[in-house]
Amino acid sequence: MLKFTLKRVVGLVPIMLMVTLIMFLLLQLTPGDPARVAAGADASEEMVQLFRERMGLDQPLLQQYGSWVAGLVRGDFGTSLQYGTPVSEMILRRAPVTISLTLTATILGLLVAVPAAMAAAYKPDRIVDRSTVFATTFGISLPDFFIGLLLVLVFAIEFDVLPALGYVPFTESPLRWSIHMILPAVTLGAAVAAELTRHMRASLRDIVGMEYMNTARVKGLGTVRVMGKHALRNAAVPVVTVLGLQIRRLLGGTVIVERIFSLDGLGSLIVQGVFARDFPVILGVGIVSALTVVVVNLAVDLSYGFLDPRVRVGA
Amino acid sequence: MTPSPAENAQPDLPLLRTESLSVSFVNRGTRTAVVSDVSFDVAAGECLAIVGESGSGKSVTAKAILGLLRGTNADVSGRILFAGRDLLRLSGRALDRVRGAEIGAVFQEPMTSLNPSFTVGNQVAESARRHLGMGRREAWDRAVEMLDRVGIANARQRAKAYPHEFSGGMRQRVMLAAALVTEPRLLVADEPTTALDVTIQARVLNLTRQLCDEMGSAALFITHDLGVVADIADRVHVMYAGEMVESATVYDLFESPRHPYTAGLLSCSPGLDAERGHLPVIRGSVPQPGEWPDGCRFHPRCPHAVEVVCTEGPVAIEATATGSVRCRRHAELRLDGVQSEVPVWAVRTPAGGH
Amino acid sequence: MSQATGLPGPTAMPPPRRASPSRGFLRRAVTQPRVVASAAALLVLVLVAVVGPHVAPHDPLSGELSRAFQPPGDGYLLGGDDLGRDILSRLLLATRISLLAAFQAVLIAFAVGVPVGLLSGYFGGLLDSVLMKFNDAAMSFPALILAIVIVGILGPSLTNAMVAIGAVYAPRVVRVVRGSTLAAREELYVKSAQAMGCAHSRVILRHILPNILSPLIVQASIMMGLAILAEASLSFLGLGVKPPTPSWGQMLGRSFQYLYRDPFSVVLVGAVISVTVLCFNVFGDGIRDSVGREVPK
Repeated sequence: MLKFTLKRVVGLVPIMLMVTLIMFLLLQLTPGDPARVAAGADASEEMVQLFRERMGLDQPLLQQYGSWVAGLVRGDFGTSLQYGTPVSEMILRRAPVTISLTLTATILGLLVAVPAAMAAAYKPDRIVDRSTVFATTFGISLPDFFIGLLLVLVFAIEFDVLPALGYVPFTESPLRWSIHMILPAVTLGAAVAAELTRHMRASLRDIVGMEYMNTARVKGLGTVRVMGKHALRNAAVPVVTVLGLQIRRLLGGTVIVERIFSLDGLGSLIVQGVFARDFPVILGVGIVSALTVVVVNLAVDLSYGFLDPRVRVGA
Repeated sequence: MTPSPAENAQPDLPLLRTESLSVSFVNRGTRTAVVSDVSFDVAAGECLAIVGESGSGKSVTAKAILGLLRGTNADVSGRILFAGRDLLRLSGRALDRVRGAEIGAVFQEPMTSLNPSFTVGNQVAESARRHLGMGRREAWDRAVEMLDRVGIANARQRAKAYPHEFSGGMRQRVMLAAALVTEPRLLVADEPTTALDVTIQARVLNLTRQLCDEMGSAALFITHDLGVVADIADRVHVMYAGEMVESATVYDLFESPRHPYTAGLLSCSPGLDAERGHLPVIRGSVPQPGEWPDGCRFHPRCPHAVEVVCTEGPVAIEATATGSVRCRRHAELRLDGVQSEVPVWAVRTPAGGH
Repeated sequence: MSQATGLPGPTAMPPPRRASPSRGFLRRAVTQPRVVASAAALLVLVLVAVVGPHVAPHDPLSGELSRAFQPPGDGYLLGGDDLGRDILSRLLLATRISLLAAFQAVLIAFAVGVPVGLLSGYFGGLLDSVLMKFNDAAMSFPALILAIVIVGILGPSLTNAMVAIGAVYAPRVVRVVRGSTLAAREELYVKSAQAMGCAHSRVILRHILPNILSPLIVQASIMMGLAILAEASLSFLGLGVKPPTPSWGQMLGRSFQYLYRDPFSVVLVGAVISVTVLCFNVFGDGIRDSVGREVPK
């Protein structure tokens, strides 16, 4: 098991290298001279040269790449051209917001999807099932921002029940943190819930027809235990798989949601970076998001060994 | 659950009695009868076998008894009396108190009948926790004890293993352990050895019979294999096309069958009779539900069929000296049983209720 | 086929029939109501995009400040936006711009993805391994974020947004094409063509490509939906089309700023986007189901 884990973790390296390579190659596409762009339109030649040296652009490409990657590994994502602060610091400062958002969205999604899928699988082809299918198809097609905007309209403007912007750190006040998180998390979570319900319902349907479910029923364990223990446990793998796939969507969605709800997360950071042509910030957030996706997928992979006894290699 | 004194005081009430059990499946308005008017008894402690080919409705009968047809498109009518209570009329919760505690079950496919995500010990222990009120520790110990009893070596270690780490025969023993851990009064076994190697079959069967005897449990065996019947059953019912066509003790059935179908089955089964050369077959094939012929359902394939007598009107069950039979001509026919010098069964007296 | 006389007549060899899944699936597709409905809706949309801006009652790019936030009426059928421009006229132009942009993005994605996928799937080997590693890495980025990175590097503009979206979705096309190519490569007619000594290019173009068309069409439809959403997202953030030119996302982004004053525009534009994406999804799903094969999403 340990060897398996190690192999997978080591497998991260080539992918991440490729990710950095992609970022680096994209950077080379900057129209014009990046140093000049960064220094500003009417900067003097000396200023431009200064920027060039500061950005390491006077070295051969391979070397640039190498030293850049070495820096990344050390945690050095460069310095912001706007503020002069280390990009890693900026990312760390804003990460909690994005993490809160994605986590709560996922949890909300689960809280909705699990009961909905169980209900639909338990009593197939009745009203519950039909409406679930309809709701999920609908939910999957609605874009995140539309849901967000509608929610703001209804809850923040019309009824003025929930705040439409701002973020309160959890450590400061859990209550206010949750109140501010509700609308954004529901916005993101709706898509998660829809996708998750769809997949869960399909796998639960398969599971419910399995022979071991009959064994469980015949043992007189009662519906709750039969569904809750025997069925759900075997649905864990597909659920985790879907969640792993959702992380990409979620991270992309946070950009929009953070804008709608004025949250200072990584999404708004990268957008600001674009407006300011702040390349280190742009690349930094890009790499971090790719890294997150890769790590989450790795975690999902490893969890299979934990969740499905048949996958475990060796004792 | 201990039987109430009232039930014990009626020695003539069998442990399990089905009365006119009929099952039909309803699919988009069309109703197809699969089991019609099946009645039989299982006395406490006895081992009854229901024999039939696929399509005879025997598995559906077992499912009906176990309550596995609830929530499906099956329409079940008649009565299934277990210790006096009609299982069909019980609420879900009440049924769940009976299942697992007083009725245990073993199914055909050991590869898929155990949940792959839980340890073997867990799956045996959960019945004990649920029905015997045991705590985790106690139930686990009980499970290990049971696993040992069914012949799993090194039970304490193996209890922590997962189903995929066991062979088919071993898994079936686990199923047996899970079914018997609560010492139920009735064990329903639906083709428990069909999917196993021939060499393992005998062992698992004997184990099953032995444990049932030890616990005083009655057993209802569903099978298509007359060899199984010969091995362990006390009494036999033969099913054909959704009906009971004959019932008798094992000895009587094998020696002098009353129904042509039974005789046909006996002559077709390899190994029961050392004399035969090549294997005879019953001509024709089993009619599927929905295609049952009028009159005696076996008549198109019966070498003794006679016009009118066998072709018209539903045939009723009649009592015989040895049991019962559903054949209008049974009194006239002299059918061949198994001619063998060596008895094919171990001489047993029907196990009395303990 | 021999004649009815029973004599062995000249038997013409029937032309080698490719097991073409493309054949007949169109016929099946047309029978599904949801395919027809969504196709019709999309056709209407295209019509609007083509004809709309020509029949727009007002200038979409300029307006009268006195008519800012004017409710529907008095010449402005859908009301006026924050700068007093006619929303309807803007919407008509935005439809053309958004659809065109999405279409061009999908074109770019296919122009890059199809050749790469074909080559990678057909030749396999080292080329395939390297390309796939690259592809997998590219797909590790959340789509919107990668698009933002590209736009960030190239500079915000509609063209750059299109290029970015096309580049971001090209890996998906590569995956689908490669998958289908791998399957098609094993078909008997391909192997026999190779055995007969056909040049690789001929095999690929004549035998493999026609038979991966159906999954491609499905992908194209779904990708149009994705591209529209991506363009809308980028423009919403201000990273796409430059004002005063309207696009769906741009209008949405602008109306969002004035959500308190005029919620109607937001809902309107949002609904238009959602319905369009829904139509593309339903259409793509419908086609996929008609093919009857497992087509990767």
